[in-house]
Amino acid sequence: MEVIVAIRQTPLLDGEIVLTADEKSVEIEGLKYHINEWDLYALEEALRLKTEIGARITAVSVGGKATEEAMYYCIAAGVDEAVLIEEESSYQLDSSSIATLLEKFTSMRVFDLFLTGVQSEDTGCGEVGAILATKLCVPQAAVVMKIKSLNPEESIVVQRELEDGFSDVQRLSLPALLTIQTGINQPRYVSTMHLRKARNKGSIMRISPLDLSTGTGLPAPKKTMKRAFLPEVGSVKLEFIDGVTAADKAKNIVDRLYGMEVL
Amino acid sequence: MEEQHIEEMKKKVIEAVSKCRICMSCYADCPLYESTRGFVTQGPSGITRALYYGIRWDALDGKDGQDLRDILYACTTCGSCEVRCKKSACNIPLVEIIETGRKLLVEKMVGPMPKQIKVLESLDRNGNPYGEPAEERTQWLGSIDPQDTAKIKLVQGDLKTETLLFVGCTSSYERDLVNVPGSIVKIFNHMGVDYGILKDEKCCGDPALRLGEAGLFEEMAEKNTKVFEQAEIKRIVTISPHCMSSFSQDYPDLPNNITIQHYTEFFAEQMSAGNLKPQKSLKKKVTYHDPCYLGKHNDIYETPRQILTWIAGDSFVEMEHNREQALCCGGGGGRMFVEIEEIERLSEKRVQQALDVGAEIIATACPWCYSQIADGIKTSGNEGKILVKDIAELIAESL
Amino acid sequence: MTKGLILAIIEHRNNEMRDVSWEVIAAAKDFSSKFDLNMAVVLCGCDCSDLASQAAKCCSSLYCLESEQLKYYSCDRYGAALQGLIDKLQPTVIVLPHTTQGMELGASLGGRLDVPFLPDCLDLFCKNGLWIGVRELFGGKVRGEFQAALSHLVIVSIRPGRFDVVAEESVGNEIVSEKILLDSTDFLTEVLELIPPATGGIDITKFDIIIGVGRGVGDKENIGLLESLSKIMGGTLAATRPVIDMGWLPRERQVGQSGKTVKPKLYIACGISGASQHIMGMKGSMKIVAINTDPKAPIFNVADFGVIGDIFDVIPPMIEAIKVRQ
Repeated sequence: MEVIVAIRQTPLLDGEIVLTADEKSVEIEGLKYHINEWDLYALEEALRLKTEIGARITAVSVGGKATEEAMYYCIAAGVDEAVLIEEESSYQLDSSSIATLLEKFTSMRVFDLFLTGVQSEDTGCGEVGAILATKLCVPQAAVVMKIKSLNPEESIVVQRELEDGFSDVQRLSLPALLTIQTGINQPRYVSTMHLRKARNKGSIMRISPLDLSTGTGLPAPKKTMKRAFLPEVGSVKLEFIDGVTAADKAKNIVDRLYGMEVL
Repeated sequence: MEEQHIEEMKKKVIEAVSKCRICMSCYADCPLYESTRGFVTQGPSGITRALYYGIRWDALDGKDGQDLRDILYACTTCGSCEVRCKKSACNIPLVEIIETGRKLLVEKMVGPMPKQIKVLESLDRNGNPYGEPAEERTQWLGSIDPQDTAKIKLVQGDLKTETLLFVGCTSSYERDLVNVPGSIVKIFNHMGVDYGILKDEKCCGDPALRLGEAGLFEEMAEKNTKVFEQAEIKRIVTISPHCMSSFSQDYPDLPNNITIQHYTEFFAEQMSAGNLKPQKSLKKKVTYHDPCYLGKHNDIYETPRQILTWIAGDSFVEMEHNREQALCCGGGGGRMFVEIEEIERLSEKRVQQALDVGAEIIATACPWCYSQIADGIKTSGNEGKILVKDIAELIAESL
Repeated sequence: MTKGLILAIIEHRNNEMRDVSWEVIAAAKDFSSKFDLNMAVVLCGCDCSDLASQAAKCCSSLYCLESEQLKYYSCDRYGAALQGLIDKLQPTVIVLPHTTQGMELGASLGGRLDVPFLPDCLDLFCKNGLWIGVRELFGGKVRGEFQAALSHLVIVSIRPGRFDVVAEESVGNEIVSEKILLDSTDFLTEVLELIPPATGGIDITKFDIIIGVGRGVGDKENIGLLESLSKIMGGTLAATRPVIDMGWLPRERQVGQSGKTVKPKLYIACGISGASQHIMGMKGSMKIVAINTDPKAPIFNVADFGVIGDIFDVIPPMIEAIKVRQ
């Protein structure tokens, strides 16, 4: 069974956020990266299929030099092949362009299952999986919380997480695409030694977007970010409670709540 | 990791465990066996035997691997078992075997325990196991007397210092413990010692090694060794016995001319030399809890007692289980970061042992012991009856 | 020149209209007047005339697409059913709620029709004929204006809870029902079951006072403190998704987009940063108190009272202060 997992590296925005000079985007120069949390669960789910039924796993990502680290991570974690569609400006690509690149790559391959995370931590559009499945003309299921059963080469039954505590169960014919929700499994720990070995001995298959016959250069984005800004926190109704010490503030808020007869 | 390396580790474990006589002496002081359901796999030779068969039967993956993982990672690595086994003449390195088992499981991507994964990630990213930002490591200096902090040399870049006070992650970030490094700084200043603290101090790496992440530990040790060499350090005084133990026993390339000391050793030296003269001022009954990494791992039992007797005189009382038989607090070996089901909490048991000898203060010399015991006092409902103090705090109070 | 059309796709589940449908209708009304567009609403389902009547009370033009195949939502079936109506009506904008259904359907329609999709928008505007959606990035820390490429149609999903629901208006409304011919063999998926939420256990939605536990609590053991606060206030504990995922509290206590929606008299958010998914579930609370060390945390966007501090420093004296009064 052939499984492809799409991986995205997202920047870690831990400290103060800096916008680019033209205020069109977030300054990502100098930021550290990690693999998008949802994709880690998708990766682990794929590796579980490898252990259980001997599936062959390909990890694919669209990115520049910084994304190599994510590919080495996937190799260290145990994928059979790591593919990097190399594009330095990948951070400027929108979901549709990424989906198009992935579609071109995938259509050159035979696959049974394609896994993505539900959405990315940075842009949070949640689109790539759905657009990709539609373009590949394969059935899709979003927000998968559990793979209930798998009949390799035939069909897969999944449970999807819905709102208000609801869930549904769907059967999809293979090949199919699933977007994976966090909490579906416990992603493994990939040790420093494994990473070192992957960096030294692992090989990443590098593809240029031009190889994917997307015509002239990159696919045109369907949306572009024109302005970035930091939201003002707070609202008209917000009142910060006074107090020198925490104990003061505690007393004050309790007094206020009793005063308003909420308590 | 090279397959060969894994095979070597497996072979080492098989050989070592094969020598076990299954005499069960090691169970006598095992804190895990004491505090859990009493299954054989919760004691030292039971744990190592489980690992032995896991290797023999190639059951290190999947569910079997996870079961073995749960067994291996419950150990606090206190070393009580090794002490007993040495005495009974088998001298099997039980803790080393257990830690090798952890290394194997990490390489098999079965270990560590899920909750410990973010600890390792934090060590790598932030230089501490707590997920705290690296930039906030020296913030604790803001909580102590500015007159004291003014005398501290913050070492970074080209700055050199002969004596380094290695604060450690817990003392740096744990707000409830800020009085401990604060006291140490006060004592250093009182003695007029010329010393420095690293501006960008990073974890000694002990949690990584104890959790089986040898590769990460190697990287951390290498980086720290470089920093120590660059600053031309001749003496490192640590607050935590874990850091001291790591530097002395685990660091592969630390220059021989660097003296590693736990602060109790350093202060005892200074007291003998007459540079530190605390008053005999402690009237309350005080007992001493031997941290496993100070006592069992490094044979430092009497030095802290000398200091306490100096300060407390006859008020010092000994618990029934002391020195090599001291009951582990349950914080070592990665246990600070994960919950193991206990029938009776080790920390609460230890607090009771202190109450049993009429102690009003439990003195200790390890931030994790301090944390665990403080917790144990709270959860056993003994707040107000007894309190925990670090030896450094007691010295500082007696100046 | 004919006026363009905004088409709103509303959502139902388990024979009940979902609240987001009213929000989306309100948003569509707002956009239709702002951008001078006609408005229509579409509902897909099976034997859903009741739902259609409900919806028709507050919109002037409702299309009801019916088929046995549309009994449960699946992306391919809804897409196939809507295709025909979209071809017929030629809308300028399609708006849906950003839910598990909406985000998948919106993206899929965008892919199918090769048009831009602006997901999870807080606001929408039109500049020089180009549509711009305001969206959050990095969990709400940053916002961006995303301009859709020039296109005859743009699909937009709106952030639930963002648009206020407008009261129903009975406007002599037109329901156009259409039976869609769909066969199960047309599709490669099959919905086997819709599983309702587990009953039993605790229903946090019934409580007047809820203490929300966030990642700031640090560890499972620390929840005891919040439990004490909850007990002395006569309330109950709830939690954000990460806390539930880590197993510190059972799933029935999860508040948020994929958990429960609560509207208590008082919600005290402890160590909760305020990710949009959580806020969605509690912003309807009458009074919200947020305790956090970070004054810039997004939770303060919905809070009535902000207490800047560490929950371990603030909560014990709060408990004491309440004890004194009791």
